Amino acid sequence: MRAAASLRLRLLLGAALWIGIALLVAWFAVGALLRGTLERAFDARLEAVVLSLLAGVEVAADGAIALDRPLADPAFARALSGWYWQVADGATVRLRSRSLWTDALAVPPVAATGGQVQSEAVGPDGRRLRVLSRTVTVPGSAQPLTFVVAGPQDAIDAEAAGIGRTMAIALAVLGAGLAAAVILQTTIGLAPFRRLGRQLAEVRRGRRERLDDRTFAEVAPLVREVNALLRHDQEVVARARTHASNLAHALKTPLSVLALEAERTGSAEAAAAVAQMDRMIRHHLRRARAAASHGVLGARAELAPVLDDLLAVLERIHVDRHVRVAVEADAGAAFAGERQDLEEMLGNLLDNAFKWAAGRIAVEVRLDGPAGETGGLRIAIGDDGPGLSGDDMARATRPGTRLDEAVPGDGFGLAIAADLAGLYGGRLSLDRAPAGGLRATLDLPAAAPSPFSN
Amino acid sequence: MRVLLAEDDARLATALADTLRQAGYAVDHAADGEEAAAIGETEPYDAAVLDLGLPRRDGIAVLTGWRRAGRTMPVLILTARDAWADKVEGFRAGADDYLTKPFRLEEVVLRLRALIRRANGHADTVVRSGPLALDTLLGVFTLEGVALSLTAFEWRILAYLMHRKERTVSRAELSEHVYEDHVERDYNSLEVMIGRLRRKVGRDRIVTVRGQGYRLTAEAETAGDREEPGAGGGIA
Repeated sequence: MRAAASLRLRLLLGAALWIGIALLVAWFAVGALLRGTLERAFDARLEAVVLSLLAGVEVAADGAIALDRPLADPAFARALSGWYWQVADGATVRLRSRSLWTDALAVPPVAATGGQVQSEAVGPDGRRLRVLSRTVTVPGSAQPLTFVVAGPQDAIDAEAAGIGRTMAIALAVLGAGLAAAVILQTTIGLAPFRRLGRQLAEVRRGRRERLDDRTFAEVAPLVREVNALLRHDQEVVARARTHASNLAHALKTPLSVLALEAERTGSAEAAAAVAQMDRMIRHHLRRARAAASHGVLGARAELAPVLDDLLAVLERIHVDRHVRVAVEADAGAAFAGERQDLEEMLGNLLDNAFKWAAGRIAVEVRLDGPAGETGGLRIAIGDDGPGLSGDDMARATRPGTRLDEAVPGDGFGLAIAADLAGLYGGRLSLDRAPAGGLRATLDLPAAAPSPFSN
Repeated sequence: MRVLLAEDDARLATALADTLRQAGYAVDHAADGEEAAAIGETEPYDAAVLDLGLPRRDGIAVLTGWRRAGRTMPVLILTARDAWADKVEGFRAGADDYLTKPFRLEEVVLRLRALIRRANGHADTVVRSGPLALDTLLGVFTLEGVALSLTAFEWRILAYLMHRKERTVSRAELSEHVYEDHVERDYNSLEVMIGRLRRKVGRDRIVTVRGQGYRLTAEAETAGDREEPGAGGGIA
């Protein structure tokens, strides 16, 4: 099982990948565009210098070349500033900027007259230079003159780096914004799944029977399938109960005949065997029934109607015993399980109390969790009969124990209740009742109160 | 004391019917749900033993039908289904007691006696009428503490009168409650039985109410109108 797999993480990673690629592409494309623009601006500046050199150059009658006025930009006068110009006549440098002192720039290959060539060179200070040269025929000069103007390449780099920093910040802000949007979107987009998870948890705790099917179109098929599964589960349990019940009926009628035969012939051995068979059938049928119902999702049983039904039956069965039953129950108490199982547990415990009570039975039902929480349900049934000794209490909750043959009944009531409580993760405990007899206390999982009850 | 036994298993039905007859009851047997519903709604029974797993009509439906038809006789249900939910369902439908299979025959008799006693409004397990007493747990009549020896038919008549002590029971009613369905009802033999019972419990205890029927009474009466008209006037 891959516990780390997460739909949200998957969506986030996918989005992050695409955002990253988009930002990188933007970085390189915009960077290249910017650099091109910077270089064109630089070249325009070099060309302007060439044009002002052209405008200022004078060829004397003796062929000497001079500028009629110095260039406005003082960078050309500062030695080794990185900004240079020179005027050459073929391979001979006739005039140069003060910044060059006596050095010369490597002359680019001679271009045709009127042509302009852009190249790169290394300056006298070792810096990389961007060079623009133009060969022009100047009036008065016998030969065409080559005007060369150079500027430092790193001026472009510095400017590009400055803009690059600003761009990086802008792209980072954009990336962060996109990431936030993706997180928000996955949170909103996946909300129906989280609600589904909460509803399933509620189903498991018996607070709802099915999932809410008013949901988004993409989730609806899932909800329908889960609801169908829940329904199927309930049907399977119902079928299992019917089978168990049919099996009981099928076995018990012939068993009754056997029992009568044993009674008629007076065979104690046969009677004991029949009684044992009966006990085994009951035990295993109950287990089968209980195991089938254990873990059914969404089961819930109100306590009050179950108690009323059982007391009505028991008061009728034990009408001659004149037992008074005092019930004290928290309102809205409900058991998170099958009604039949609750009836089985309470029926056996109450029947036991009715058999032994001298005159009074106290039933107390408490919800020990705060309302709305998955708390426990505690049901205590105490009588004023003879009670049990410590040993007997321990023995009574073992299956198949018959504590007193003199009292009619199957004798496993307590063990059955303990078994069933265990299947629901609860327990049965026995102690002495305030009235003096036995008190049986069931601790069971509680179901949330129904929205209709108060 | 006439009882309806609704049980589909032939062996079980025979054993139950024999036991109930030995205990003194007149027993009519229905082998399926339809038959049980039909005779239970028409014949007057003092009690019914009803198996819930009947063919053709479910025992619960039969019982519901009886109650809807206004039949109030106590009903003991026999069931293989021993879940409390089944018991609750049975009592809701109008059952008065239940036994789960397998059961002991004597248990059926004990439960029936208790049901019939309670249905007739007797809270104590011993029903008394002067020196005459019926122990409903044992099903034994005693007179001044001495057990009476009675035939099954005599016991049936006396038990019916005993449960309705101090009330006048018509011959028709008495015959309906002591003869089984298939037996020819005969007021003359009933009269003979009453005569025999008078010799056993005392002449004055069973009074003939002229034109109406018989009454079991605690006080030995001195009134002159009690003398029976021999062959009995035809009262319906």
